Amino acid sequence: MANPQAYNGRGTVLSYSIDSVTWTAVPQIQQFEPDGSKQIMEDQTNLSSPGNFTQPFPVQVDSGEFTFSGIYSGALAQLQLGAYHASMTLLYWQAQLVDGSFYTFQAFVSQFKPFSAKINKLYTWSGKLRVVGGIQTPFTTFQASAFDPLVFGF
Amino acid sequence: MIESGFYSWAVSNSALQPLLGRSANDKTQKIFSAFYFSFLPKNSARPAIVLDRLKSPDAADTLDARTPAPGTLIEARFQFGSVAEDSNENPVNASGYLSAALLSQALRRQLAGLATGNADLPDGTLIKDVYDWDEFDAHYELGGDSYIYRRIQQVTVLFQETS
Repeated sequence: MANPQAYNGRGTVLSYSIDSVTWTAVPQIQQFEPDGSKQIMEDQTNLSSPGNFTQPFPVQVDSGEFTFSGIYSGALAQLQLGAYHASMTLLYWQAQLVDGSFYTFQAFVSQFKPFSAKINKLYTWSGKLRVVGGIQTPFTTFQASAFDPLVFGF
Repeated sequence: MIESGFYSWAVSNSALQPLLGRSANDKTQKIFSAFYFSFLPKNSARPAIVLDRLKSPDAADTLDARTPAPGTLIEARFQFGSVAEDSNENPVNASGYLSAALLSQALRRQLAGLATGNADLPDGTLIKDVYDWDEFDAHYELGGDSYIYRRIQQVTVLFQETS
């Protein structure tokens, strides 16, 4: 049996861009992760449904949010996210994993906590990204036709 | 390095100097050097401070790649042992136990004075914070010709080395 293939978080980079050309790495984050994509289900169970169980039917997919948090430094790349939050700017994002794979998506900075000050603790900062549309993974692409081209510019 | 910074800071501190013992040679030269690392040497001048580093994790590690450059923010646990013996030459108190307690009290106050958020040790180490104290007595030990008393003080120091 082959040895397990595994990766550590060090070197993982979360970057954002206003134009998908020039990318800025989010500095000093300690963790970021997608909450997970979810299907929105409709219950289509009716009198003719077989068996004793409900018959859900997926009607939409919601990519959900990303959460991130890290050590506050006051770096411009941290502060800019607060500005994009205030201006409700839709940004391009990419997560570069250490195995070389990229995950890209578009998202708003839906929550932004610029700092947190506590006794005997370092300043931290955190936020959430509300994903718009799908997340492009190394395996799949955006399902562009599923979304409004006026919003997403496809 | 913070250990040498603590040494320079302690032996030059005007509140600690009078409480530190001196060897005959040190007295002649007016040197205060009763500050030791890791262990108390035989026949050393007392009262004295013995410093140990208990742990020192990186406080601000992130996903970002690292470099060998100095400046890492370390959240270290240090142990300062204030050691004294009966019949010592401490001008404040002849009791070894009370001498150790007195030195420990002074040390605690002076260390607390480093908790300004931006204090420097003589070697350039930046002290960002000092907190989470624990102070207690170690059991006495048999010295060469008297009992040795030791009051332990453990404290967390958030610091940044500059070189």
